[in-house]
Amino acid sequence: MKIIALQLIVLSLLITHGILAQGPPIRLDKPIMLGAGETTVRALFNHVNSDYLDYSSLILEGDYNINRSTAVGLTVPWVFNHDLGGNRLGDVALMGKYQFIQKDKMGQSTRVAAKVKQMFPTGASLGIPEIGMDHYKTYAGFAGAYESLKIGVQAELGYAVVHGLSHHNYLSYKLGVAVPLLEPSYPANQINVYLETEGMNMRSGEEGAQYGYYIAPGLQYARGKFTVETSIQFTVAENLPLTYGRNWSLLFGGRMVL
Amino acid sequence: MKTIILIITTLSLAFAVHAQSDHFTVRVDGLGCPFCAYGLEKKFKEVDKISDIKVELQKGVLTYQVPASMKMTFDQVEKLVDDAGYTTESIKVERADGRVEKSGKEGNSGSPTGALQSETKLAVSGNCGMCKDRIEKAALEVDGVVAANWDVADQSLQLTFQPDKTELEAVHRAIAKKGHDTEMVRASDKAYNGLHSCCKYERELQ
Repeated sequence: MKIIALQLIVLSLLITHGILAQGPPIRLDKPIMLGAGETTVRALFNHVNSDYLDYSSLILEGDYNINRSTAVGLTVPWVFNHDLGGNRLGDVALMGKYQFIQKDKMGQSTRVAAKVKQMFPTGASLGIPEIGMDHYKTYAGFAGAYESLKIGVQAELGYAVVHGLSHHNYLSYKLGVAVPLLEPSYPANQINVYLETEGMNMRSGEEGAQYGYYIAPGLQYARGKFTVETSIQFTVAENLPLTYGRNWSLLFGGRMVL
Repeated sequence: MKTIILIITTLSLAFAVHAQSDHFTVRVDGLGCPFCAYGLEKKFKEVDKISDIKVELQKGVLTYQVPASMKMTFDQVEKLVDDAGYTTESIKVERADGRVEKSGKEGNSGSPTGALQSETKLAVSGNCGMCKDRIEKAALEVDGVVAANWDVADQSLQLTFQPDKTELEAVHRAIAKKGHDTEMVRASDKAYNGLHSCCKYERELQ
């Protein structure tokens, strides 16, 4: 808790004293698209520690902008865990996103996009979201962002329906703040500090309200069209089904605009 | 001797090509990060014959040149910016034949999106390059201001603005808010004290 408080203080100081610009969020989605016909690819290594199962995954993501405001994406996770009988495919997902609000000013932009993500049970039957739910899952929500040369704020709100397992449906919400540590420049050459928070609420069960709140400080280095990033997510409070729970997760990855 | 002739020929050709080019300056809104600038630059690079593309992220300005024979129109430029996912604020083109055309806030040439604009000079105190960036940025953020150029030697800000949209007092206030005294508005002590040490000019204006 002390670590989180310290990070919040440091971030607050950076925000109030920084004259900076930021890059794309690490764990959140972005409503800002980089133009028609653009493709962005990401490779993320994620290690999750939980009471149920420790596992690592390599998540490959590709987004393609059909036009300036519509994007489609594909997510393919590859899971590493000996307890699962070796390495195997996780739950593949398809994503569609439509940006319907755009307010641009000099050096700043506000965008909101509607988003739908369909996950397919291609992974092991583990009941773990994104890795092996054993059920189809549909997520719909909104992703918004305010990006300027001073600060970046991203938010996402959505609802996930787990088909055939309605008591596992959940409300999901995320908020992130980005502060770069170097003067904004183009071509990109900057280090960004992130603080991203995540929460989810499920329908109350026999054990009372079911929720999970997480916080993830992160660091991102961008140079040219390449970005490498890392973040560690901690659990702030949690009362969720065992397979949903996690103690912490470490993410390391990179992305490139093709 | 052959080398000299070759160099002269090459330079002559380069100058000839340069002279036959249209130079575009496009102010683009929405460039909130370097990746935005990348997307914009890439979109223009896709167009054959566009060269010398530069994006000034801090000012939200894209510059490039194209052969005059292309006769690139404002609509084509706006379409490219739109496809890149951003908003065209204004376009200025210096044609190879010497004509200057403007649109949007830049415009006074009678284009469909043109608007009247005026110029004035304001006394503004400052010290250095950082001051220049800060003063010009503060001025450009005021609605209706088209261009701002602060001269350290002259301690003055050359301002181009749309009189029907811009209140000059708002420009003075915006600059003073950043810590720089103007001929009309004196910055608060708090704003002045917040300036970087190299920006702390001697306060004279009242």
